[in-house]
Amino acid sequence: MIALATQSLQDKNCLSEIFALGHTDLNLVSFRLSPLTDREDGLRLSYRFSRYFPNVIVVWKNGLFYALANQEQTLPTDAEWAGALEYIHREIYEPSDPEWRFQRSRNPQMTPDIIAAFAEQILDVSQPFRPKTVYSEQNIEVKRRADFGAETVEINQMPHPAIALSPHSRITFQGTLDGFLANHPYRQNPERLLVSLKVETLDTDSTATIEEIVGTIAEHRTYLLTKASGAISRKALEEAPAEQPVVAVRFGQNSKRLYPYAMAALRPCVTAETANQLDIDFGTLLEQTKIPYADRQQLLKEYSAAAKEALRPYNIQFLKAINGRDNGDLFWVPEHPIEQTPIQFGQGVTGLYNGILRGLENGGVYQRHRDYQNVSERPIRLVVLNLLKPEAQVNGFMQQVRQQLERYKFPSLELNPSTEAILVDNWNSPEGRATLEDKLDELMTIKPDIMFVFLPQSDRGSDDDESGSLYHRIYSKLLRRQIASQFIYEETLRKETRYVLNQVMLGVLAKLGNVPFVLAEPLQVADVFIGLDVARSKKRRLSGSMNACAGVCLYGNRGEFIRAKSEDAAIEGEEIPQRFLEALLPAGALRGKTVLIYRDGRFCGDEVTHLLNWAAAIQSQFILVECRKSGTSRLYNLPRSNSDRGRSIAAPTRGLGLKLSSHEAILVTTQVSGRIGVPRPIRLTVRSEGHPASIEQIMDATLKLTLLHHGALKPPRLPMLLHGADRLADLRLNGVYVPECDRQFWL
Amino acid sequence: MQTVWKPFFSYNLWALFEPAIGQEQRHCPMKRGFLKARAKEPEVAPLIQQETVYQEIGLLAQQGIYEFHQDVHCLIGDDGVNRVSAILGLENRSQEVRNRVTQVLANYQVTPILLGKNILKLSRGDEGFPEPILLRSGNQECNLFAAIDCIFVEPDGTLHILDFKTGKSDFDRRQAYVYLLAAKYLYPNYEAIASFYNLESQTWSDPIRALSVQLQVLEMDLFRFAQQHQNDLQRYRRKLASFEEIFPPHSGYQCQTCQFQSVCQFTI
Repeated sequence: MIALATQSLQDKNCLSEIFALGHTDLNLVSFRLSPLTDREDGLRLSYRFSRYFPNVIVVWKNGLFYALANQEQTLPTDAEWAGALEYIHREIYEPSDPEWRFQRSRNPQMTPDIIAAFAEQILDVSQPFRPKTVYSEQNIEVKRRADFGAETVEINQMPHPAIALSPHSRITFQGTLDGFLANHPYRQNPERLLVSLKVETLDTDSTATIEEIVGTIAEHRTYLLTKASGAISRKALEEAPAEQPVVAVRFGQNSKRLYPYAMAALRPCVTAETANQLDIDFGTLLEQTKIPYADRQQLLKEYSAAAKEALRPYNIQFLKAINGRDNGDLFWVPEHPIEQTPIQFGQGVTGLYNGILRGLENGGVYQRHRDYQNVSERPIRLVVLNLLKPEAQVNGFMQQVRQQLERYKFPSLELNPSTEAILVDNWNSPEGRATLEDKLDELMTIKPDIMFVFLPQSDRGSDDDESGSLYHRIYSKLLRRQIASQFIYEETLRKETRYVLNQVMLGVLAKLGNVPFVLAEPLQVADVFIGLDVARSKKRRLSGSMNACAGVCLYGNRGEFIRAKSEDAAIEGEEIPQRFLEALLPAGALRGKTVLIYRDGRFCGDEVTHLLNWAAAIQSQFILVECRKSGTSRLYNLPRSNSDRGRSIAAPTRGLGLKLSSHEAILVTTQVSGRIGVPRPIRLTVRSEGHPASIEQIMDATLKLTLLHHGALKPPRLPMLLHGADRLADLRLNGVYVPECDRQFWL
Repeated sequence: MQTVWKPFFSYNLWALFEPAIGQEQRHCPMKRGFLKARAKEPEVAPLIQQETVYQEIGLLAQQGIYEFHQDVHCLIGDDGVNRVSAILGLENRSQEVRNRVTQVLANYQVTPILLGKNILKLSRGDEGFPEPILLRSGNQECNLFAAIDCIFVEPDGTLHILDFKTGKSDFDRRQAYVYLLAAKYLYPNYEAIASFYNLESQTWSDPIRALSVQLQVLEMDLFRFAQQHQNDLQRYRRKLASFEEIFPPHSGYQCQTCQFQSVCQFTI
């Protein structure tokens, strides 16, 4: 126990990428525009104002604009504001835009989030962070850049403004989109190539998605020239050939506006998909994007120095990063290391999470699926799809799989006792693919419980081929039939079989609906845990029409998988309709209980209201937690050091959390080797409208729920219920009907 | 003596439970509800009785083959196609049906695949329900229905079950497995294979064999499906309002060709 306590204290030697801000004597004014602006217009106009007036920064919050001037600058007069508004209106005017009128607001109330927004906008407009090229080959460069964003942090129960600064790498294509199209095999069919392609603007490096082709340069040149603000866009427009397509792009996922662009003012984003078209080895590029800890530390120093200088003229002080020594109470680590969480197996056997295999061997699975309750009546049905060379040891491996299953008291039956290889010269040829499809169809006719698929090593990393990898082709086909699968690569077969079996056996048992283990001690915060995810797809060329599909997974308070289901609906707008939520959250299972609902991303529109109405109707209490995966600042350990060069940042302890407030936290849920990268934490937000729960309880429950990934010995980033909900929503979106199921076949 | 009613299983029921492989997106569980739970309702029954053009062609084509083999002179005679057409009453059918069935008859006369075979059974296709095969598992019983088009014996003694197809849709291997399971009970002393022959495209599938382990597993599943189906019907009868919960809809492209679109509130 003493050792554990020491461990906890040492874990407070940690650092975040969030820097507190101070401020003195701000030179500011606030105003509103009439008619009132919505968020999208507010953000757009504030950016334009900031560009129009040198050394004046404008932000928008809840219907009001706030302008902050450099300390040596006089704030614009009302007449100057009105003039700027007229200019911007003319510059970005659309027929649907209203004619805004300027109205000064008295006694502006400064809040920490407005200060933070000022800081973000200052850094955005002044661009103090210089990108650094770290890799260059042909037309591709990998650059280190700074990600930054406004934050607020509660210190001593008082909210403080802050800025999150994080180094990241971006792969940049040096050519332009028109050049990319000209050299592309699909150049005769630009719509096929361009629509849905991710692009970057040459002027501002902003990323966007092409939504449609709106015409040709000849048709749009005059109009586009009146709107072009950047020098690069203007030159591109003047020089572009008349017949070149003009594309409309959308910035962000939810923006209502589309912006026409000349292709010479855009470049394609380098993704796994476009890398192949650009004849680049994406794997090599990805390697270059990894930033070692030492480099991160150096970049953070440089970025913070640059940010400090950029903010100083506005009387905003850039202070220290939130760290364990000064702000120890904000950091959190679980009471005991997460790997030492007590786990329960079958026959009442308990053990620790880092002794899973031993526990499983001693106790067997915690709960057998009802199909396999009677050992003699229902053996596990296996089939084998062998795509390896004849000499591969598939037969021997399968024998050991069956013996191992027997040891866990699961007799098995092979539906195709011959594991003879199917040999095709080239699996990527149409003939090869057709042979594979036929064989798969045949093997699925009498539905197996699980298919063991033996793949050639060459299939690893072949996802970028036009035909896709065998793995994905087979996996998705099996998933559509709700058939579990276990893939074994050729090289894995050559390793020590026992090691491989240990890796796969847990997953095999769980995919069949058994619960290999649960938490030995129930989670206190709720009775039922639910993962809710929504997948949406726009119907091309049908603006506004959208199909939304949701998946839910229900777990008990010891992490036992209860069931999962999915629903679909054609909906307008963003939120999940009430009837849809009610269908997903069955009254029978939830009545009178405390339910923790994890939403992948944010709750949209009136979802929270709908959920709370439903909770009231079924006399339940819903704790509503948003779980966001992207855009979260990293956390580091900062171990003590005897070196003269000071302390160096290191990989964070799994489970390290930073409490941003009483209802929001950043949590490190993974542990990855330095070679792979730095863990990306998740952000948890407890919605105040729902049933209250402490952020510490939520972090503890979230971490423990990541241990329930029975398909792998290494825990994933998200609690398992979100992983399953995501799979189900996606399947439903693709038209696959998944009835209520009690097996995690998707593991 | 009153007949004891038993759960049943057929290829048709299986297909209503689970889509054919590769047809997952077109499957709607609610269709089973209309066909099996609400079949007698006044607004549903006429929709079920309506014969589609595809069904009409399929049935007439099979009847044509049957008639050819009833009177082999029709098969080898110059006016055989006309004579069989008259027996089938093709002159009263629509132009599309008449043309396609006539083409089937002409094709078959050129390539009479059953001529000279040792035919054990050839169905006309309109005989109604076949005799059920009684299956037992523990204390459970189930009737298996398998409407087999044709059975003949290969020269090597193998029993060959043949199913006739028309149109362009792919065959469903599950149908062959159901027939092979039926053959195991009806002809226990024979090795059996099954195949599909498309009378319009004149293409023959590869022969399909089933391992005994596969038939054993199918038999286990068959009881499960049959029982599940009965449970669903009973649940519906107890609570009619739960129709869409027991037989959930899956709206999509398939609605465009669904016979129940006029009565289904989920049709899109």
